[in-house]
Parts: sequence; C-alpha cells; structure tokens
Amino acid sequence: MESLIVIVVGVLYMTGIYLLLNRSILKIVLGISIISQGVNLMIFASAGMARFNSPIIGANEKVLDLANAVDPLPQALILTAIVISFGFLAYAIALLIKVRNTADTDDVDEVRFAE
Amino acid sequence: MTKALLFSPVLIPYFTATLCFVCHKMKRTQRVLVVSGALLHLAAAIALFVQVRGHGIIAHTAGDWSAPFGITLVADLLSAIMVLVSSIIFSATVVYALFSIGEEEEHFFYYPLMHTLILGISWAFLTGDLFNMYVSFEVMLISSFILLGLRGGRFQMEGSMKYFLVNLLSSIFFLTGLGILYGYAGTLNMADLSVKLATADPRVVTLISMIFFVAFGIKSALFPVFSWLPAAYHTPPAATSAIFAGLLTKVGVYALIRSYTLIFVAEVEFTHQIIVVIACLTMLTGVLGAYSQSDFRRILSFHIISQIGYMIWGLGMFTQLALAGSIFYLFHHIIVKSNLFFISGIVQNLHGSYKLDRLGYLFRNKLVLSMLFFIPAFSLAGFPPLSGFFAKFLLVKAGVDSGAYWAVIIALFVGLMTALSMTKIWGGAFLKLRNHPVEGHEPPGGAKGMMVSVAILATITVLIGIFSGPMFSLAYDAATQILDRSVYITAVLGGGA
Amino acid sequence: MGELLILRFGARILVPLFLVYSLYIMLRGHNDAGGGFSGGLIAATALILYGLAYDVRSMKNLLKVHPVRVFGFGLLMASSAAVMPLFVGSTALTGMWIDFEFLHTHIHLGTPMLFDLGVFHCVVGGVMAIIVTLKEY
Repeated sequence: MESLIVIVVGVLYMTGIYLLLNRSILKIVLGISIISQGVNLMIFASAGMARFNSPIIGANEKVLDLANAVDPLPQALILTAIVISFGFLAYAIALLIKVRNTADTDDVDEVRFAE
Repeated sequence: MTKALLFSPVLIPYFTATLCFVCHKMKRTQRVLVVSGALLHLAAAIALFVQVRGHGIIAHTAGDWSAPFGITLVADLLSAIMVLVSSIIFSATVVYALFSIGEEEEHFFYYPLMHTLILGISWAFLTGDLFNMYVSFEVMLISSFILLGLRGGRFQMEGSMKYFLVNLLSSIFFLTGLGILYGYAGTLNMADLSVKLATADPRVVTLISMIFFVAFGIKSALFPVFSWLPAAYHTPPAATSAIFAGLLTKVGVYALIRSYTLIFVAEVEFTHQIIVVIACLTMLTGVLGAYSQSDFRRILSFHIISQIGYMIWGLGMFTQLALAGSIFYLFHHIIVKSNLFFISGIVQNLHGSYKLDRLGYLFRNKLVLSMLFFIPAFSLAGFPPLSGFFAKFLLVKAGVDSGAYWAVIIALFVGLMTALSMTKIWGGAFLKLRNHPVEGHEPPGGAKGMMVSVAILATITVLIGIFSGPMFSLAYDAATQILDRSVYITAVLGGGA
Repeated sequence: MGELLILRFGARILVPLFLVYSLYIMLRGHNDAGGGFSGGLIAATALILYGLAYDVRSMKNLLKVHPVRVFGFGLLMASSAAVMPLFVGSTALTGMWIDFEFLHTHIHLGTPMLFDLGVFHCVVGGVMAIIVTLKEY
C-alpha cells in the first residue's frame, strides 16, 4: 500500500513541476496546488497505511489501545496544510484576476513593469 | 505568570486583529485599538525579555500536554531578543503608518493585517516545533501577500505575483521536508528532534536538512533564490516595505540559525561549509546588485540580500563568537534597515519619487532628515562608533580566528561596496544640487509625524553603538545558549527526559 | 429565469437541510469525524448554493452582517476559548468543562465546543468574504 502511495506522490510531484515550468500564471498556480496535494499524501503515508481505529479512549476504557490506534498527528498536520492551501488558492485566484485586469495577460514574462 | 507572559506576544496581536476585523467600519476606534495593541505587544515583549534574561529559558505547552506532544512555545534568549526587536519595529511602523497610509488601504484591512503579520512573526520566533513554525510562516506570508498587493496598481501586481509564487514554492519545500522528517524521526518538536537525530544516520539528517535549507533559504533570500526580494520590496507603501525589509527575511534567518544549531548538526563540517560559501555569494550578489541600481528603495532592497549574507556567514562559521556576531548583526540590521525604508518614504512624501535622479537638495533644505539618514546609512556601511561597525567587527574577527581568509576578504570588500552605495544615495538624494523634480507634486503632509519613528529608531541605533559592550555580552550569552543544546532540551522536555 | 426554476426549488429545500447538517457535523466533531471546519464548509456550501440559485447580493443579505464581521466574531470566540484557561493558571487552549442537568438530560459543555463554534463562524465568514469579493470583479 505504501509503495502505491509513494508512486502516486511521485506522479503528483511530476505533474505539478511540469505545470510549474509553464509561463501561464494559472498553470503555475494549478501546479503548486497539485504539488501540495502530493505533500499531503506523503505526510499521510508517513503515518503508516494499515487500517487502524481512531485514537480515542472509549467510554469503558482507561488507556488507549496503542497497537490498534492510528497516529493522529499526520492527519492534524494535513488538515492544517489543507486549510492553509485553501487560503492560498483563494488569494491566488484573486491575484490572477487582478493581474489579468491590469496587464491583459497571464503570461509571466509579459507582466514586467517594475524593472 | 510566565505562561501568560510567554503566550502574550502571540495573543495580543491576535486579539487586536480580531477586534479590528469586528469593528472595521469605525475608523477612530480602529486606530486607537491598533496603537494600544502595538504598545501592549511592546510591553509584553520587554517583560518577556527581562524574564528570560533574568531567569533563563521559559517553555510551556498549550493545553497542559507534556512536552513532545502538543504545541510548545519556547523563549530562549535569541527568541526573546528577536521578539523584542520585532516589537520595536512594529510599534514604530504602526506610528509611521498612521501618518502615511491612505484611506483606501485602511478600508481594506491594513491595520488588522499588520497585526496578523506581527502575530506570525512573534509566533515563528517563539514556537518550539517545526510544524508550528510552518504555520506561523504561512500566517506571516498570507498577511504579507495581501499587504503587498493592497494598492492594486501595475507595479504592485508584478511585485506581489513574483513574491507570491516564489514563496509558495518555498512553503512546499518546507512542507515536504516536514513530511519526510516526520516519517523518519516520528516527531516535529525541535527539542525532541534534537535528541532523536543525534543518534540517527548523519547522511539522512544531512539530506533532510538540505530540503529545509532550500525552504528557509528562499524565505531569507539567499544567493540563487533571492530574486523575489528586489522585485517586490520597492512596490508597496513605505510603511509596509519597512516592516517587510526589517522582519520578513530575518524570520528566515532565525529559522536557519535555530535549525542549524539545534537540529541539523550531524555533519557540521559539510553543511556549514555550504552555508559559508552560499553566504559569501549572497553578500557579493547583493552588494553588486545594489551598486547597479538608481532607485532609493531598490538599492536598499539589494542591500538586505548582502546583509543576510553576513548573518548566514556567522552561522556557517559556527563558533561562539561568530554566532554572537550573527545575533548582534541581526538586531542591528533590523533596526537600521527599517529605518532607512522609513526615510525613503519621507523623501518620497516630500519629493514624490524614489528615483535618485529626481531627488536632490535635501541636505540644504531638510537638515534634520539628512542627519537622521546619516546615522542608519553609515551604521549600515559599518562606520565606527555606530552599531554596524561592531557587528561587522565581530564577524570579521570570528572569520580571522577560524582561518577562512578568503571569506574575510570578501566580507571586507562587500563592506567597502556597501559604504560606496550608501554614499551614492547620500550624494544622489541629499548633497546633489540639481534634479528633475516631479512636476506638480504637493507633499501630502504627515512628514513630521513620520519623523518620530525615524528619530526613535536612529536613537536606538546610536545607543546600540554606545552601549556596544553590554549588547555584545547579550549576543554572546544568546550564542552560548544556542550552542549548548542540553539547556534548551531540558527546558522543553523537562529534567527527566 | 426559467432555466433556474429547478435549481431554485432545489435550493429552497436543500439550503436549510445543509445548514442543519452542518450544525450536526460541527457538534459531533468532538468525538467523531467532523468539527468546526468541515461543518463551516458545509454551511458555506449551502450559502453558495443559494447564491448560485439567486444571486450573490441576496446571499450576502442572508448573512445580515458583513462576512468579515462574522469572521471576526468567529476568531474572537475561538480565541476566548484559548485564553480562558490562562486566567485559572493553566496554559492556553486547556479544555475547561461544565456539567449540568437540563430537562433530565446530562449536558457536558466545554471550551472546545466554543472553539469549534468559533472556527465554524470563521470558515463561513471567510468563504463568504472570498466569494463576495471575487464576484465583485
């Protein structure tokens, strides 16, 4: 299972980097968001991919059954990362619209005024 | 008591920003809130600094968890210094912004965003685990993205686009590194990582450390990945670019210092040698770039890069003296650099341009401003008795001690070039008696109020120069503390661990 | 107008359903999958559906206050949950609970609940602010 995930992560990175090398801002943004999905999946895989229970101490138990409980931290990390990339994506879209409105292009090379 | 003290530099800007979001239609209330929030933050930072200086490292974990689990905040001497300095800059910027920021920016959440920016910055300095450092970086970044693009003109759009894309890439590197590190070590708490990686395979640790080096390197504008900085920093209003110039890259430098003294110390002779080489290249490109520019703020932007080189050089030498030099350089540089950007804003306010060929006569017409420019500019260039001289002196001394004479020669050459391009601004904007003034520019007023911040920061620069002895012993103590990892680890994980 | 008839009729049924479901997701979040963020997103989806069926202005009017203000109140709620423990000497974000009987039901209320409610408001306000701003272009 892990090796499958690793391959998927690799493919996501590959796609993302291919898109990053583009000159259109939209494709760059898409590339970055695809890579961040890859990162999330990678963190998820680092917790181990077997079927586990959620790490909650039940009503009738005193201690956590460590052998069958999943590591909750990567999931918390991914959730945080997803929220952050959500915010970034919203900003990226706003920026994209704004750049298109002011420069009439979404080609990175043509947006040059300051230098 | 120490708990509230430790959390307050993060919580105060948080609450101020929140209240500003709630009452963002009420302009006057918002201004009162903003200033009192900034002053409270300053008070909290001073209190934290005094506490840490007097009683050693403070560490607490949110939610009363025990240390490697949960969100840990740690204040050692380095963090406390950084929080204090950034708080000084922040208060100065808020005062400056009151006189220089337009209605439109104020309407689009300028002040709450400043507070979320300082929230991210103080959090990054105080956090005790790498994932929280990532989150705080993002808080800081997203605030800075919006602040940068607020004016929405063509220049701002170009600057913010480059800044956004490159920094997003660095975040991805950071997160990738975090994922791999977590998969390898099973923890992200910095103290815990320091313990766990001490017994790990050094080659793996070095490999992971390089991913982090790229991530932090982009954030702090190191040699091959610096181009976003001069593309962006001269586009926003002066108040914004001053706080960016002072603090944003320095958070990256702090992250490098913290991680390369605490966590990634498996193969010091290899990793830190790379850092020295990168540092020298960074110094050179920065200063050469600055020399070729003719815009007030672009010269200053390129100087940030070369100064970052100095700080990283101190980290690369990895001796007590060199690290003390780096830390001294950090707090000297933050104050001086923000101040220079403040002054560029005042000059723009008076003459309507940042271009040196449009400026002139300032020495004749604005004597006080010229004197106030003289202090930070020649402190940056490293003239004795100002603060920059001592910072450079420490680093050069450490370089001579470590025997890397080629690096010393580069550093001295870069110092000379810095002085040269500061003279260029001095001659171009202040002494010169001819110019092409901007037609029909009416100073919008507020320059007197903006001078208050400049005067305060210039005074601090002079004071750092005069009291360089105590300042040096402070930096030296901080360096001793970060080199002795066991103190930090004990403070975070408790005595038994 | 005619082509929106089905969407509008559907929205009228689905929006309240989504809102109730979002509350359910938020409340069960403490012990189960869910929580303030996913609940907030579902509520935001409901409002966006309403916005698609009618228009963004009436969607904004549905909220009564400016989205940024909802966002601000959410932050305030979440942060008060974080800070309260500092006053009784614990570190920030420590859970504090009260138990009481109400209408013969045992109720277990605590600061994590307040935190989730704050996150819920943040997400709704934030997403609404994003949609409204993007729509204005």
